[in-house]
Amino acid sequence: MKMDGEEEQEISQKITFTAEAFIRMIGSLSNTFGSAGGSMMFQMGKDVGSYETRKLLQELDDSEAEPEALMRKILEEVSSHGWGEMSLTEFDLLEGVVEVVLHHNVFETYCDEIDMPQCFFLRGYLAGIIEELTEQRLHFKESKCYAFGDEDCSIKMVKG
Amino acid sequence: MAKVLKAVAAVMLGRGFGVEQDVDVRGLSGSDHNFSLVATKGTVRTVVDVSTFGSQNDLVSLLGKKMDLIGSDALLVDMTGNEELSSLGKVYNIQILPPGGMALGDILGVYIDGIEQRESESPRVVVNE
Repeated sequence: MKMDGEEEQEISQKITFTAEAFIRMIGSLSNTFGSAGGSMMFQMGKDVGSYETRKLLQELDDSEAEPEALMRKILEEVSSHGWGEMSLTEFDLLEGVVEVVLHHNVFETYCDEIDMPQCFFLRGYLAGIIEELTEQRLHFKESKCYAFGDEDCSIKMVKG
Repeated sequence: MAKVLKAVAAVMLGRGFGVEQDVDVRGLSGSDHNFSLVATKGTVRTVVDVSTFGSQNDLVSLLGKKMDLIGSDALLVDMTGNEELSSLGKVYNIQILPPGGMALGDILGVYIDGIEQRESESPRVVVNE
């Protein structure tokens, strides 16, 4: 069956991936490569976060805006991608601290079941966004997690 | 395995490195990575793992951990002498060491010379402790 150009393009640009399948992928990496699996997911997330931020910045055409305002806009945009509802709760570049809270994190059930955080990709994703916006390389510091009995999921990134 | 790690540690200590065995190091991602040995000297940090069966997964695993520790070098002791690992190690910039003998000390000596030369030309910064 032939499709018109627009429909074909739309299909080629989106895939559906369940949270469960994603968690299985992380599990597979961790089972095969141990702690390096988390590191690999972090690196992949960072590359994607960086790439999507560059793309969004071009679309926003708002190069004069402050990094914090841009970060909020970007989080609003990526929240619509299904990861969860992300909100910026701390953005202090002088101290090198950025914290994002995720409500309705798509991995909530799995973090709870597995009893440990599954957010390596998201940590990297945020690190990528931050590095692209601020040219600062932050690393993961701590998180609130459903697995620890916390009500929300939060990811805190800090300077080396 | 303990014997080869002792041999590596002895060479590193002899060249002025501080050496710790069975160490967990937290990476940028927040993962805690375990290494058989960690040798440090100033801002230089070298992490060491052992591949008991010469599996490529051991090398990829060490690469994944190294990527998470900006500014660290990595060594993998291959207990089997798998040539494929040696070739892949060059691609991943991970020095593969033989399980013992004269070659171990020689290769390690050249490797440390290389690190020291690099550091004298452009010192690195180690991120995360």
